Amino acid sequence: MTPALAQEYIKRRMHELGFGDNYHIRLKHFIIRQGETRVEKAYNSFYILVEEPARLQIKSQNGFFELANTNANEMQYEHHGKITIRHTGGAIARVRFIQVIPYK
Amino acid sequence: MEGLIIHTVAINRQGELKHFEIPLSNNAKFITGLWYKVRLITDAESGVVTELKSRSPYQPEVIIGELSLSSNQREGVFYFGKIILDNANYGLLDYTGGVFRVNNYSHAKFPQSLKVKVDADTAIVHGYIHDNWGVISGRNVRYEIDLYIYQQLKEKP
Repeated sequence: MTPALAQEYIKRRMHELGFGDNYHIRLKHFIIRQGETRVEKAYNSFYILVEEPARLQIKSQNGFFELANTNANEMQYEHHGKITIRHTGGAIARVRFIQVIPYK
Repeated sequence: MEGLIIHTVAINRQGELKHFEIPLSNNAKFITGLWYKVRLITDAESGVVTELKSRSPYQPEVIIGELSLSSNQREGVFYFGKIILDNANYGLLDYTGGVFRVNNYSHAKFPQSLKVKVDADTAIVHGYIHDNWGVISGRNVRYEIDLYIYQQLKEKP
């Protein structure tokens, strides 16, 4: 997903969820080292992937994203709740998200 | 008026992750219940784990996968949990009952539909199943999971 598509997606998605234009966005650029597992708590926000990271497995209640996974029939770009980002081997990996924080 | 949708998801490979979508009825008002049934297709005697042995009388439940169900609208994820094979020892040697009430969805497969109340303002329910049965059996296990979605329908004017 390109950043431009992500912005359009976020706008429509927030309207769909009933938040309208009431949300903040933050840019998140994570650097994950070999063997590292990072847990992000996003119970009140949404993380939208703006690229397709290699060497990483991203898992949340919404679904999975892992390019190397050949056992999946779909990948998810939108993540919410407890998000686990796990390095699956090789060099240091980077991943960029747009964090969307809705408010009332 | 109540409606029932039965959606079957087939898992064939070890560690498979399968996303699916369940279309709801046009006149659905609420999702009121959930239930699932597991049907093994692979021969059960060919190395598929159907029970976990332990030294104590209590046998831990066999977790065959992970299930997530979500609505596309405001409700978001409304069910996220383990899919558990029937556990004959349900409730045995569980001393927590006096303090922490045993929930059907924490110890065993729910014996009857799990009551929920989710606004059915979404056209579809999106979900995924992540296989664990193949992982603990160390081979591809073929099985089907029937998901029962109970819905309350709007009365016709």
